[in-house]
Amino acid sequence: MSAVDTASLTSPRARRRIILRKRFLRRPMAVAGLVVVVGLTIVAIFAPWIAPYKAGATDFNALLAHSSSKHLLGTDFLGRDELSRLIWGARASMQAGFFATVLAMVIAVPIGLVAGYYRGWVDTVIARLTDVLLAFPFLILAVGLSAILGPSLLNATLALGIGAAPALIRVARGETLALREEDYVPAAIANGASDATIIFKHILPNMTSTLLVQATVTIPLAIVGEAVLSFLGLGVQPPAPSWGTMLQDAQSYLSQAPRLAVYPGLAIVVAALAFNVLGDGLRDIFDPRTTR
Amino acid sequence: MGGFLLRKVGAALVVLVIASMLVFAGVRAIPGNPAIALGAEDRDPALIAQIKHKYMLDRPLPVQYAHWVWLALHGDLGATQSELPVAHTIVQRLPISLELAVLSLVVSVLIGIPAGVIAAVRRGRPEDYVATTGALVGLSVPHFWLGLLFIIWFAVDLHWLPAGGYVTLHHPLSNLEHMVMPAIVLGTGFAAVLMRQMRSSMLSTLNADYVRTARAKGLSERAVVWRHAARNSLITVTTLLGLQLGALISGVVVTETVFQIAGFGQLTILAVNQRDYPLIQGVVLVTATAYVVVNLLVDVVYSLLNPRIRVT
Repeated sequence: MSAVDTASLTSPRARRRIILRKRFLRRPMAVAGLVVVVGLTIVAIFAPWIAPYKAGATDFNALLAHSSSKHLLGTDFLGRDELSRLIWGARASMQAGFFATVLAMVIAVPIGLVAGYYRGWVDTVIARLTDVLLAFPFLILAVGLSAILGPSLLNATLALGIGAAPALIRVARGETLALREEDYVPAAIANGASDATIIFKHILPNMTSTLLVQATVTIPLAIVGEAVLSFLGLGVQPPAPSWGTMLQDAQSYLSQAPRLAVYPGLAIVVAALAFNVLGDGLRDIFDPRTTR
Repeated sequence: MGGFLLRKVGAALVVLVIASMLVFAGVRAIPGNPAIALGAEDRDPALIAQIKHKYMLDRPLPVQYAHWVWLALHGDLGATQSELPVAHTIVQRLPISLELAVLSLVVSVLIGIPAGVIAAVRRGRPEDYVATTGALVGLSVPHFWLGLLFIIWFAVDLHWLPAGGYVTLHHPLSNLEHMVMPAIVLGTGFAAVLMRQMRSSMLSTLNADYVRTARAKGLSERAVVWRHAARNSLITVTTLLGLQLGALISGVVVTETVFQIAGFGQLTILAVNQRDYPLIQGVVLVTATAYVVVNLLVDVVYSLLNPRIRVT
């Protein structure tokens, strides 16, 4: 059967999926990004089975040791295996990246939908509240939260999620403003659909691709943010492993063991770059202007 | 113009009032009884009542809030744990952070704007590829890690620059020596953001009618790109500066910690580590106020640059 026949037999939705997949596969950078993202997720989930040592296991015969067959990337100042801590640290990063983004979406999407759909004074009130949120950068938010609740990965994630929400509210609002002008909205109104049906059944599904791209570019921000907060002592608390706390430890040994400051940073860059590249790729394939 | 300004100022005031309420409520949400914390360990009811009265803790919350705002408006943000005035402590540290912020903005503009323009003009060519890849890497590299690497390279290995610390502007050369690394570390991250914005904004202005007109009347390509297209693209980039202020503030905090610069950012982390609540409250309030004021200024500048915005 020729390609034309297959295309004519499938539903529009399936055809769109095939086109998107083809466009995606034509972008090697985006594919590489996806591979790294999947790999990191697997490493984070299966850390206990992948890591050669436990995150807190100390080897006092090998303090600040260079790489060897026993410790592939060497050890830190307590003789803890650097590779194992990197693998365990992926957990904190991926958790923060994923859950902060989910939280930001849960806050932002309904607010953006309501603001864009109803406009008028509702929109104005929401715009002011978004401005209020914006006035507290994620780091300052984390400072406040850790003052009230004490520093932890959960509070860092909360701060990152709330901090990422304003940008997403703007995106969701803008998309809704555009989508509510589409012909299917008056059609749905004529059919007697309620506002909720129009918002959730007609507008929301049409902005999923935009939201997916936004999520993919929010995750790396949250990953870097988690590292920053943990580095400053506002996130993951030592001795728990996180790329940020590892860098904080490494800071005291910059002249003796500079490699300890290199590996966790590289891990952050690889993770953030993979998501950013994937996000750029997704933006390109969903954007009809770049259709080839 | 007057109406536009008034609306913007009004909106900013509303935002400030709500933000200050949040800060006030946040401090009240901290567990523990402040009166007991303030020296009445023997829990003598009379002493607690006296302390409560002194700090107005026996009054209703709205009264406490009004009193707090009244004092804050007069520059009184209370005292730190070590009995120093919070406002004074913050004001002392702010110029250092401002210097860092300004220097890194200079670095980011010097790199980001030309890179964005060149990438847009040479779209799809090697120059564009190098600039866009550089920006992508710049977005993914955390400042504080770059800072650590710079310390390893330029301070520990090469001994070219001091690893950290701050020297006042009274010694300009030494000051610059200490600020070079922090400013580059913080500036390159923003250069990446600026470059991307400038590139996409240039790509649309290069297709605008007035650019075609400029070319048609025989202007040199350089004049077309820099005097016509780039200048108009800069207008959209100004709004970005306001929105990026939050990231800049966060970046200053981190960079100051890495390079041990005793500025506003280091004060913030110190306040958290010492659980100095009045200081935390002051720091958060000052940040939020700075954010609102700067964004108001950006809006005003933007409306001066782009008169069309005043109508809407």
